[in-house]
Amino acid sequence: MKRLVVAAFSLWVAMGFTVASAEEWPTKTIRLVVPYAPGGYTDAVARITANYLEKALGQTVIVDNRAGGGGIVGTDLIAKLPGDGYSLCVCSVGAISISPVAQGVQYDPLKDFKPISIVSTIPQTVIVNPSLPIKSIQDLVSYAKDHPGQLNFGSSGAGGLMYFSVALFQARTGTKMTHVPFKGGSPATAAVVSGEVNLAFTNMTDALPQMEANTVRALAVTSTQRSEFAPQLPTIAETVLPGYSAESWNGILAPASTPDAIIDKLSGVFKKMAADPDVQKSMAIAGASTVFTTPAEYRSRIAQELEQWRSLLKEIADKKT
Amino acid sequence: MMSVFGLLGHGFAVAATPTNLFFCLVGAVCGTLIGVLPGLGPVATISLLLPATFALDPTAAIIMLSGIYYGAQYGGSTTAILVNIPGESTSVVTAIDGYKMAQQGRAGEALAIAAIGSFIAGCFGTVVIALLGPPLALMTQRFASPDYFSLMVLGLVSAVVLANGSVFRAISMIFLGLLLGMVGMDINTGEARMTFGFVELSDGIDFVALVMGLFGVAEVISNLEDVSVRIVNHTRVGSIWPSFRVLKGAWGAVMRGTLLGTVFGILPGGGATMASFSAYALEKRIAKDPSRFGKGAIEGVAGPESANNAAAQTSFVPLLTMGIPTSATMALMVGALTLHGIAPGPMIISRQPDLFWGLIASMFLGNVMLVIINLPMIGIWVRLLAVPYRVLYLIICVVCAIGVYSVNNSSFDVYLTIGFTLLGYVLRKLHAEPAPLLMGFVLGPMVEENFRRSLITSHGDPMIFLQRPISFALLLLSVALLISMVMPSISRRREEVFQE
Amino acid sequence: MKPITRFGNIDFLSGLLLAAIAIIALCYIRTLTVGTVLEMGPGYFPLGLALVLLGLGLCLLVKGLFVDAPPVGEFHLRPLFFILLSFAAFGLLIERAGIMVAILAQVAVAHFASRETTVLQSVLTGIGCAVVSAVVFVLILQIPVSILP
Repeated sequence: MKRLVVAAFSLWVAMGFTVASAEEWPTKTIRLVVPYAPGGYTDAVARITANYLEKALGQTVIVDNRAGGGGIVGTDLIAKLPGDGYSLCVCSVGAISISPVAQGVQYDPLKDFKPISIVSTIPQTVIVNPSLPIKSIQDLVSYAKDHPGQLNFGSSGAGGLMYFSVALFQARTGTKMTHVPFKGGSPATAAVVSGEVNLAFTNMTDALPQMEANTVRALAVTSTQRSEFAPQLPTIAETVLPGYSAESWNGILAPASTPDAIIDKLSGVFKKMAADPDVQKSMAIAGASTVFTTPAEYRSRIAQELEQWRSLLKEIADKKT
Repeated sequence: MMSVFGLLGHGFAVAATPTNLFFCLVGAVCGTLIGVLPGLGPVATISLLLPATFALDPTAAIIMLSGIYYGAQYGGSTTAILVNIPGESTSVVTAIDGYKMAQQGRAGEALAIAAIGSFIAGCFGTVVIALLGPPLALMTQRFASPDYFSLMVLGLVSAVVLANGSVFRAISMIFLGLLLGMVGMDINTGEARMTFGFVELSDGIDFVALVMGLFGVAEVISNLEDVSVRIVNHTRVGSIWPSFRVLKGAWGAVMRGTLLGTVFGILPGGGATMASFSAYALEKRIAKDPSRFGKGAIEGVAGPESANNAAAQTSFVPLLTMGIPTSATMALMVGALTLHGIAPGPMIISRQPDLFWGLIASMFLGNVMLVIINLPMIGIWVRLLAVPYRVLYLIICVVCAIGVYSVNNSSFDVYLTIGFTLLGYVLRKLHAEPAPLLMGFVLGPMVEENFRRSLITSHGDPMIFLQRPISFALLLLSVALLISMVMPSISRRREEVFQE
Repeated sequence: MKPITRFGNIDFLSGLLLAAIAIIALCYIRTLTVGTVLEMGPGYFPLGLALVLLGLGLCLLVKGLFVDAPPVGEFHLRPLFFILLSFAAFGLLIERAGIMVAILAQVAVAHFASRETTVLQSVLTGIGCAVVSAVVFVLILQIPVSILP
């Protein structure tokens, strides 16, 4: 009984506090948690976003890098913070849509967060070492079928999109390649250049400079539509696997207890941000497309992705037994 | 080839514009300062200052951010020498003999040698980037996982040399370090290992928390319990300028450290740290009287400090020529370039000659500035030791606590430091040395990663380590080094047995 | 000839410490998949290392029992206790009460670690450290903590 009273009281206090603050929010510095190391791609997106939010909201926005565990540490932190609108997370597909089904984490991506908007997306590029006799994505499928287990693909480690997009590709095409994990996407890309691994599904940002220098051969992109940065590359969906989609995104999430008034206000800001030419330009430099989604669209996308990876894992596990 | 000098001349024209000179200076000063503060490293500082560079021209921005990085190598040795707190992982070995020198009242000498060695190494490293950058980068492309594994094995073997006591005990400490290095998420499966249920440990034990505990705070405690070992403030502070004799003694070490650092810097993964550890091991190995090491040998400061600075310069090679970052700091540079609209990659030299050659020229100028800034500062640092220890130790504790906290902004790391202080204190009482432990800790994850990856790419064939020439040569060298270390102790034991 | 310090010597106790750490590690490694050389699981490497460490520890322990070794150093609990406690105080207070309170508390606790400290000097040091740190770390370097509660 005593515990119930305490809980009710603290809820009342919390509600009173948030209602009062939601009207004039924001009145103090906003913290944008980035669950990845500074200098990475998500960090770049976060800094562009922070820059815009500062101008749009008239409050200081600080970027707080809480790297660790492939994004799990920082995402977990945000899940536990009070939802007062002053702590937001620039999350990414790995920690939100993949890790919860692949590794087991302490947060529930749908229950512990309120999605606000995806701000940018970036396709992956299928790159191979140019010494291989593989010139197109169709070649890759037939070569992998003829040489089961012989092709090595690099990834950013278990629980990352670089591994899961290949796993999905293998399951749908019925091919089998050997997984070679690296500590991050950039060393995996470097390994394709040096020939230590044969191929990787790597971020467009990492792939573009190497493609220009012809140190790797690009075959296709993993998104449903061709990329504006390399329009000559076909999608996997239009060539070998209709319906195939694996795209990296960065989006803003808030702790689940954040009042809807603040979410709505932020959603409006992000809608304007997606149309801002300066933001689009900065995002393009980082290799990303600027995107806006409503909170509802965002939520259903996360649910859909969770389902896609969950069923893939089940499929792989079933095959093994 | 003439073009290299022509281009370098162009680079100097770029770097010597008042704006670029100014930002080079800002970077160098910031770098020195954060290098001196333990904990907060170049990664944190660069990410902090990154937004401030948005308004700048990309060349000026990169010049400043690079200055922070190599400037930090100058500052990192200061606290290592003065109070036994290595500011960066690269100055851990500097603390071994540097701190002893400070206790003997030779802090000025140690700091001066560190600055001069860093300067020579920094300039040499820059020359190497300018003349040999692209071919060297191609060379690193030949290094694959098995070669890295063998390189790490060589590193572990040379860690035995770091210790002053018995070989057997040193090996035990290395294995303890290796085991501590295993804590965290397994990259192949994403499973948490030995994290005791703490999410904070999923990326492993924080290096700064470990170093502060084992070295800095444990040292404070043993200084407090015994007045007689606390020499720092009771003896003369010592002349700041090293005598000609000392300079002559350190000269060879500076040269060898520079060469080692230049090579290691180009290789990915802990390049600068490996460089400083190996330079120390090399100096001790070739010294006529290895027993001087650990008791204030000037070569033990000169070698590693030169090596880490040379490595700091040449670690730009893979980034600038191939677009491949080899460390967290270099990854940050990629981020900085990207945010400034430059895609770092193999094309950067031909597309952005101003940036490439300007940056190289600025490294020369930055090193000159750094030595000019650092030499007079030595006087100030040394005077700091005149503060009574009853006040100094309070300051050291506060600096350590904030330093540890600021790395990940996490109280958890502060609590970790408490645990490692206790461990460090116990190890001290057991006459066990923490330096080999630290080497095991740093190399452990890389040993495992490369070993597993080698066996995956070779489809399970362990012969891959002997079939690759680079790997084979490195393993052979490791075995030879191990035998040369064990032999004397075996023959000594034989003598002892004989005498009995 | 010195008397053999059988249980208090450094070899015996180092061996004991290493073996104990190895056993604790083994308890936590138990649940991990070990795998084979061909397909190494997450437990493969840690298990190997922990077993080697256990072996090394036991060797040292046995050596300590039979061969003479220097005795273990004397433990001074006063500085150990108060310095560790001062870090705990800092860790507990930094996020709850801000940097200045955390530092003042740390210095206050650490003050008792030494008998040579004087209250006046420690108070001044504490205030100095708190002010300088607040300016350097929070205002200039902007680490995300508050200055005051």
